[in-house]
Amino acid sequence: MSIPKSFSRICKPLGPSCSLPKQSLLQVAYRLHNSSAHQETAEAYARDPTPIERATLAFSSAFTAIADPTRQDAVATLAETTSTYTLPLLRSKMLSDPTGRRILRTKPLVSSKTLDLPHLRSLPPGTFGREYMNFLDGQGVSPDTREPIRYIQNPELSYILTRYRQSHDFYHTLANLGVSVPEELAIKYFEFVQTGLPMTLLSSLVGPLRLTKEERRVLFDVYVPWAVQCGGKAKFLMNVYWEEWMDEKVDVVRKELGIIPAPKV
Amino acid sequence: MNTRTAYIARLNRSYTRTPCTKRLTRNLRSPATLRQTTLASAPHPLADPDPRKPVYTTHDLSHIEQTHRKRESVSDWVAWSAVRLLRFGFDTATNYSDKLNVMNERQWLNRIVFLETVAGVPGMVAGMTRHMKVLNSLNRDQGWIHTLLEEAENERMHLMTFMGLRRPSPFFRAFVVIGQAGFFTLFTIAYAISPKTCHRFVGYLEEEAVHTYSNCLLDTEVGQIRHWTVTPAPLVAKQYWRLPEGASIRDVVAAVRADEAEHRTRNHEIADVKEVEKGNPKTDDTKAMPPPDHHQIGTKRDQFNNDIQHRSPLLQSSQRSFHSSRKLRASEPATPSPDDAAPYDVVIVGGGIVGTALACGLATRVDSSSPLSVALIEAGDLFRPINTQPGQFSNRVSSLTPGSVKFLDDIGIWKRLDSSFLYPYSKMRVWDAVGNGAIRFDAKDNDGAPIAYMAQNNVVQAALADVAKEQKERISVFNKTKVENIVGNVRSGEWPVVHLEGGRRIRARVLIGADGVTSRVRDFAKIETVGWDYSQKGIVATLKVDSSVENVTAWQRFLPTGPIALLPLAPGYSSLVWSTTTALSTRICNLPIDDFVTLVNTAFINPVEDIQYLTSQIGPDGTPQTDFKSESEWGRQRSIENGDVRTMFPPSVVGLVEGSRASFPLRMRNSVTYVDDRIALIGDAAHTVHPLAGQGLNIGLADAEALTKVLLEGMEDGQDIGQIHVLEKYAAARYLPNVTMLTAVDGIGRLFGTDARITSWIRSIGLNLTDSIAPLKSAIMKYAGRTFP
Repeated sequence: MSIPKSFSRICKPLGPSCSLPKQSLLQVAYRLHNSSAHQETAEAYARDPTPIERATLAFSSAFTAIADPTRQDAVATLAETTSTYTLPLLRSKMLSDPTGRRILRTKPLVSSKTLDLPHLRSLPPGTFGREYMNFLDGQGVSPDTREPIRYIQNPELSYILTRYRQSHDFYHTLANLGVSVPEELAIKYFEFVQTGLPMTLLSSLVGPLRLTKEERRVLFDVYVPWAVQCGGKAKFLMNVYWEEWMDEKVDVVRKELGIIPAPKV
Repeated sequence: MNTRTAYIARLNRSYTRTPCTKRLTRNLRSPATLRQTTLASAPHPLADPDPRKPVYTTHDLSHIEQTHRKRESVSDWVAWSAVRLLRFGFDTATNYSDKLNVMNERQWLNRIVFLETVAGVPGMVAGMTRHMKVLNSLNRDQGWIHTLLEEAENERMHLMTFMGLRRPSPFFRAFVVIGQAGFFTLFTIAYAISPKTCHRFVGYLEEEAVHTYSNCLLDTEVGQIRHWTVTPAPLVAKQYWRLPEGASIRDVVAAVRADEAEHRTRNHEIADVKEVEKGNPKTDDTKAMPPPDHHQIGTKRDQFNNDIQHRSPLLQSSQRSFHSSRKLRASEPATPSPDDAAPYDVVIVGGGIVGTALACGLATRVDSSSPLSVALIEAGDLFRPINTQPGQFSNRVSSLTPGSVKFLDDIGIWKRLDSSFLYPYSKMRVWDAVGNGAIRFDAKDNDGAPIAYMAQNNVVQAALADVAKEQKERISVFNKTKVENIVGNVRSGEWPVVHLEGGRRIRARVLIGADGVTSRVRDFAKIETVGWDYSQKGIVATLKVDSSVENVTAWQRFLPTGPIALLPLAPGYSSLVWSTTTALSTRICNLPIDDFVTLVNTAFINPVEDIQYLTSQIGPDGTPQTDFKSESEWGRQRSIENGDVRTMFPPSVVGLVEGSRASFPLRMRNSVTYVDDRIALIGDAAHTVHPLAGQGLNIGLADAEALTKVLLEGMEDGQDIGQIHVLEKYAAARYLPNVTMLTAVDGIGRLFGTDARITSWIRSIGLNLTDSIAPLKSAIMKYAGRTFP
């Protein structure tokens, strides 16, 4: 499909200093329907999208994600293009906290390279690190499956969103929730209360539409009340240096951070 | 019924002589008219018998001259041109002709009714405006309002009269509504701008009305409305003007003409008197104004004349000159009291800058022959020697605005001040820590004059004390003397007696409270204050700053916890005023010097989160709980890396003058009144304000200046200066300006005291917009500096 030239020109930034993308954003949006094309397009993209481009991306990724919730790249794009006003607030909160400042200074990453996974597996049962590994192994996921940031150029804001994504599995561990759709949505509600990121709100509102009646009942009767209460009461989790809590007993960690595990259904 | 039949029969007789009878018949037979005729003996409901309304004699009515007042000033010409323009418009619209026997009855009535709907507006607008003005300025009306409203009422009665003759069409009514709306609006605006011009305008307008009605009268003799000489006048008119039985419409027109002539004279008079009032009030007393020339309309109305004279401002001013000729001796007690306490004309409690400035102002500016005696009571040491070593700065400094400088100059203080202790600054930078709002003031916005002078309070105080000492035959200084008690029933005319430490007692014709926030005088007078504590404290300190940059700028950054300001004292030295929460202020004052300096630099340069973080990391005893230097540097570094652009570059703070850190609570207070019988409050005793605009001392000095003027004028007029009527002029001069300033400063504090996003967004826009409008900036500077005319 060819994109009219005039239309792609609208999407270009006005300033001469910006390096122009090789492809217009409309093409990016179009190619969202094709996962592999999306990957390569976004990598070629080296500047902040303009507001029009951002809106286009947000809409197209939102519809893609609604059509196919397993499309992690679409959800990631939605998060990046809608968090322009929320990320600075998260940064302010982090800068006002000693640990938050330490995290922003050292910028730790969570991956199989930075975490010594065999060591975590060897920790005594009941420690946070061991529970975390149990979760990863039990659900068959890896800390490396997180999407990279594509559309945020500011290194600090980009890092904060990365940190938020990489902390996701720690929330699962502490909340004692699996990866079924209702459970994921429970975590999304929890994250919305904690961070206020618009993507978490959109997921929380649209996600339940695809649930069965029974699943929806469980979500709204059990998980959502838990998420709202627990998310509101708990410490601000972006200011937690997860790597330093691995040796602690998981119950101690929960108590310290003010998290109660989600009720079992 | 007999009356009615006879009436209609008479009408019919007159119709036979006129061409346009049908319309008149129809109108006269309208229900309202019929009711009038049947109830001839009862007073008409619309008629408002005004006892003051003159009864014109036939001679009066026939001897109305068409006069014209000469145009002298620009405002006369403006008024005259407006009337000519209006007249041209009306003439064209109503097809009016000056020639005799051209207009028919319908045209005459159209013109008259329309003119009268308009003519009722000016009196009402003028009366209303005047009413509002005396209410808000707390002034006396001097008898204007009633006169003006009477004029409006009179014009309305004209309309009521002619309405009986003509029932207007819907089109005509619409025309009236539009005309009235337009004229009312324009006239109100014009009246707000120049009442004098407006009264002159009405004067000229009424000249034209007299002209028109004179023509109308001629037409009743020779024109198409000859039947008006026999058509009986409506009852409403008969009652209003108390016309004799058998009066005709022509008589009504003549009476209306007499009224218009009266308004003409009155409005020209008012325009003249206003001119005198605005002139020199001293010459006002002596300048002989001719009495209002009521002979021009030749009416016999002694009662009415009495009434006018009773309310005439001219007469009042002549009464004033009678009083001033009595020349009360100022030191002669109005109410001698059997007390041995020494009497003083003015007793000032509190020898701070404001109190001493008042004493000096009175002593240096009073007429040398006047026996004024002033007592100045100070609990501390007024003559405390000051440290004049270079590099030694008191932490109590003030920014003196051009208005304050002028007052200090007038009373001879300014030239005594060692210029090395006065530091003018020519630039001011104010910016917002949240958002990107900023505003820049430069001397060029202030016509090249310095924005203000930084002065140490004790230096100004010492110069004032010197003058007080020199004026010892007028000012008795009770130095290091506490006030133990104040007694006296001022309501019953007694003078307040101040009991001093050591058993001395002094009596005050007028007792001035210049004794600060916790004023004894205010407590004595039971004057309440309104306001609130900010639960904030102001930290002051003298700082050493980077001496390689020119130190001529006052810097102020608004942090969510309160503004922080850096004010230049001398090259290399600046004064800090940092408003912050009470809890934080103690901790910040106890910080080690190095960390304090780092924190101040952080507060001026770093993102707001860094300041919040560092201030949260101070222990209750002032120990820092993190590495201030490293955190501050990293914070600055990361903000640059993330694209924050620094726009403000205050000089970096390099040190603190030992022992100069202190803090004081911030509050806003205003006394509900500044004066009472024999009591006046000035300075902090009257009001306290947040220091963010540096206005506290300046409005205090403005109080002293205003009170000096009021007291001196009172003495010149030979009045008892303790009288509330004299003191009220001081309150009238200062209350509104002070409340405005207090409210403005409080509002700015509140606007910047939140980091809510919408608020910070709005204030960024507001600041940047203001910054880009040079005349607005200039106006703000003039207001804050009290240099506006």
